[in-house]
Amino acid sequence: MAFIEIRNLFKRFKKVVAVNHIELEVNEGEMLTLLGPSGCGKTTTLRCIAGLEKPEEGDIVIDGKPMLSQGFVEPSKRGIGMVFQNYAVWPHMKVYKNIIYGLKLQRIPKQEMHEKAQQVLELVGLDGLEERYPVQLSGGQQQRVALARALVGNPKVLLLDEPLSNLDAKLREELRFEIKSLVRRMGITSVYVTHDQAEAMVISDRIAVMDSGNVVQIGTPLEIYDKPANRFVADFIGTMNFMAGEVVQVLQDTEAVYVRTEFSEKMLCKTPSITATTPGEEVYASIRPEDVEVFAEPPQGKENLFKGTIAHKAYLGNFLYFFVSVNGTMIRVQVPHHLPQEEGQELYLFLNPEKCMILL
Amino acid sequence: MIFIATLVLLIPVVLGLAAFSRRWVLEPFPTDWTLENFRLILLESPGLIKNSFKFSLIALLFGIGFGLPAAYLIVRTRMPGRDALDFVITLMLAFPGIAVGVSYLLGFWKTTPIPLADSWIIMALALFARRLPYFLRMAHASYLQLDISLEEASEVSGAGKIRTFFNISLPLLLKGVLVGVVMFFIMAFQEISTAVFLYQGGWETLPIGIYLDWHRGMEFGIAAAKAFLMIVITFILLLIISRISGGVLKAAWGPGGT
Repeated sequence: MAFIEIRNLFKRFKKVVAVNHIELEVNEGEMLTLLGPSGCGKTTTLRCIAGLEKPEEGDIVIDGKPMLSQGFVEPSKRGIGMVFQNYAVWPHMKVYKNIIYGLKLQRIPKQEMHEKAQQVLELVGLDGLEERYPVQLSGGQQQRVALARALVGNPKVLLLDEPLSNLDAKLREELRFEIKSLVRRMGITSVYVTHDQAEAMVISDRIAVMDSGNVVQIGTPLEIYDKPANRFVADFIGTMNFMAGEVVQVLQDTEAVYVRTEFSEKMLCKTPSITATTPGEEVYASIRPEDVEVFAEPPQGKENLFKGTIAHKAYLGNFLYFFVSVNGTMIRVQVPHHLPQEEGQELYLFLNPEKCMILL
Repeated sequence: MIFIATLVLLIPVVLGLAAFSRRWVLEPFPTDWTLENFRLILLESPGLIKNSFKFSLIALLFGIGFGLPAAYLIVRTRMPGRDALDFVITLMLAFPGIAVGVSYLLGFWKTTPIPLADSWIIMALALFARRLPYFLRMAHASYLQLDISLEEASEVSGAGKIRTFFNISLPLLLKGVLVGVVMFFIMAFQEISTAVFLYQGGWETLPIGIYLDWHRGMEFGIAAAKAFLMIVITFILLLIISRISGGVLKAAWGPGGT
């Protein structure tokens, strides 16, 4: 049985549906990320787990105890730790007081309280700053205080609501790894909310991608990247070329599909577990920019080979983007940064059928 | 600049000259200096000072007791009718003091179901009602500035709503509310337009005393001394508040804090 079970959760604000009957399970000790664009319902879901929002329908079960169906359990009684986007460190208390706040409420003996606080301060790398006020700390340090405060009571569940999005890029990357290793070491079941797909990929054991109140796909970062469930997921995670077209032929035995697109009569898509389709259906033949191979001269015996012209060239340091126009359709290609081709030059694109997927 | 300064500073200067002198009428400056006026006030009508403090303080307690929860309801809850509450309280701003005084006098008259006008509590009640919108607005503003996640973080840490209010909200609201409290007190302390209709013998406040002295004629020195006293009291209050908000709170928020 999963550690956190979300059953048929429904929450709306006036007429706007924020969470639309979702089902979700978080396993014990796992870090699950809710990922999606703003307004997709990820934060509302998290706040429902925390008890900061009251959903209209459904139930949330934490460690076997229902939070809604047998009477609403107040946030203070749920045994959770939470980290907020804007730190929410109490400005009128010193770091130490911020951290022991929850322990004090539990009437834990002073000595034990002190030990726990010291432990967690060391864990987040804040020892020595106990007597500072939050305004005397940097943003990153304040978020560490918030993290320490959330962890000090050994919560059953740790909830993180975009904890890094107020920090600068460098620090964000650094703290990602820190949070991941910290949470993993402590083995706390955690739910992490972010709109940053790179962050989600790095930090999570599993990702639940959300779109307008629904969970669209759940899986490991690898599964979600390699086998996106639909066009939305493929577009949101990483970059994808979408070529609108129509299915012309389905080859049952090899699980391959021929698609007619704007620039070609027949394009072969072979990725297994592709969405089941029938001839005549409108689909998107899709391929990631790094899966497109480029050739100066056409190689022999390859299907899905198209000739195009480089319309734009974008230098991104460790690699190049070519925006290649194939009969008017723009295809983005990621190539090594040393390729000599310039804008206006022609080249051949090989859209490997094994990497081509069909999305709706 | 000079013009404005003249308008402001003329008041304490003229009042001061009048308060510390006898029969200053025809000369450009008084010639007969004295403390007699203050002696008379303190000996003959200490009740005025006492009443002023009593009514204003009770009005203030009403104000805090009602204004803070009202601000909480308006800002923090989705209670139906909270906009109406806000509107009704703010509507009070539209009524001049005279209107409040006269309507309370008639509405709470001896023969009405609620004969409050017969008790001195009406004085405090009127001061409270008249200045409530100011207090509410200030409490409202400081509530709006208080990030809700600070309160939520406390709840998640294991504190209930009431504990969260006392541990987190109240200390953080204090700065904004404290200024509101003192402004409320000063305004109640100086109020005359409402009070002058409602007072009965023995309920006179300092402003009413000044008015009566003037009305009886030729007690200008005593009236000026009372006004001067009010200014001093107000000034001391302002000084205290600037010390509190600049001193204690600054330390609590750390250097460079807001």
